[in-house]
Amino acid sequence: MRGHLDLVLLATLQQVGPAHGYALIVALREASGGAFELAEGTIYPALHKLEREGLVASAWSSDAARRRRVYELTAAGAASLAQKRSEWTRLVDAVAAVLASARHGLATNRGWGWSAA
Amino acid sequence: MSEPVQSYLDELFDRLAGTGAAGRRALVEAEDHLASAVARHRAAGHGDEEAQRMAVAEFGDPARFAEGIARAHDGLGSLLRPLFTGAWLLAGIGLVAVGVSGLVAELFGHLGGAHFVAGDLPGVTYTPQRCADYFEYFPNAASCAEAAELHHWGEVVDNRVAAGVLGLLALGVYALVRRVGPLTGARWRPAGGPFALVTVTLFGLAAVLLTVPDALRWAMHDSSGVGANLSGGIVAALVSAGVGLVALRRRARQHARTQR
Repeated sequence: MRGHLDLVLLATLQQVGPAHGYALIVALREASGGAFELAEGTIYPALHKLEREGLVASAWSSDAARRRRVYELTAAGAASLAQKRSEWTRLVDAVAAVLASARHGLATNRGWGWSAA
Repeated sequence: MSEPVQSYLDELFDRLAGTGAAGRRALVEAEDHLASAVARHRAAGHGDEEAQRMAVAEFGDPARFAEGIARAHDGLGSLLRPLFTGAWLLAGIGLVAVGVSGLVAELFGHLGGAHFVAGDLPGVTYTPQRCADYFEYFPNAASCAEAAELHHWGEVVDNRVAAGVLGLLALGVYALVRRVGPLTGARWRPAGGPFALVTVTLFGLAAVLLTVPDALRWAMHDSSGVGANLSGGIVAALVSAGVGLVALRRRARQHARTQR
């Protein structure tokens, strides 16, 4: 998860639209089926950093009982997300190809082993 | 809100000191987040205190949160500032430890004789001129070797105690600039965990390297000069153990606070 938090947060913001931190965590948990073991507080430094980089924008929400900081994706964030998503897809495809190749090699080697025996 | 969340926010407030508007905003966000999490756990049927404990545990380590916020807004500075003060503190502690080892060497000299602290290795000899110099300082010495040992013992103690005084001065100035200025606030606070880890490791290594070879030599009935390194090794071991214990107790207190 570490190293991919930016990508996941940008993607979640694109999916759910403007949202505060807790709503993002809930959306993230639902989208991942609870697979991510993430300390919930870690998303705030990540969101602050993304905001400083201009990839998200935030403002205080006035329609809640409590003051809430609501984040949304900027145009630069959407472009960055598209690029990160493309890099991630390439990486996943490459890893899948290596694993498939290794599995094929294992099956072939086992075949040799049996014929040699 | 009662205890666990309140205690957590209190600690977060302390740790975010010096981070300005970013810290204030992060604190509000954390409070809102924890309130939402508590409400969800209560809606799921948990009691208030249990719901708070669960929310705090899910939110994570307050130190890491505060460091993350500082780093997000301060970049490299948030890493370099605690590194600088940590190195300063470590150097001060190191120098004071050297000074204390000088006092231990003084004690060893009284208990085991100057030979135990400052005895030369076998085969070391002095020119007549050097011997005359040593006898000038210690005219009652029975031999040139004994006069040299008495002289070296004094040097070991004096040099180390001088280093210790320098260390006390460094720690005094450190306390002053951290309390009064210009290095006040949490931004300059050395990172507790890494500082303890580095200190325990460095002093632990020093303890082993200073103690083991000379202890082995002593076990082989060669005690000449053994006390010089042993005194340093003993003090290094005590510093390592002391810093480790303080770090563990602090960790336990933090854990207890979030469990309350």
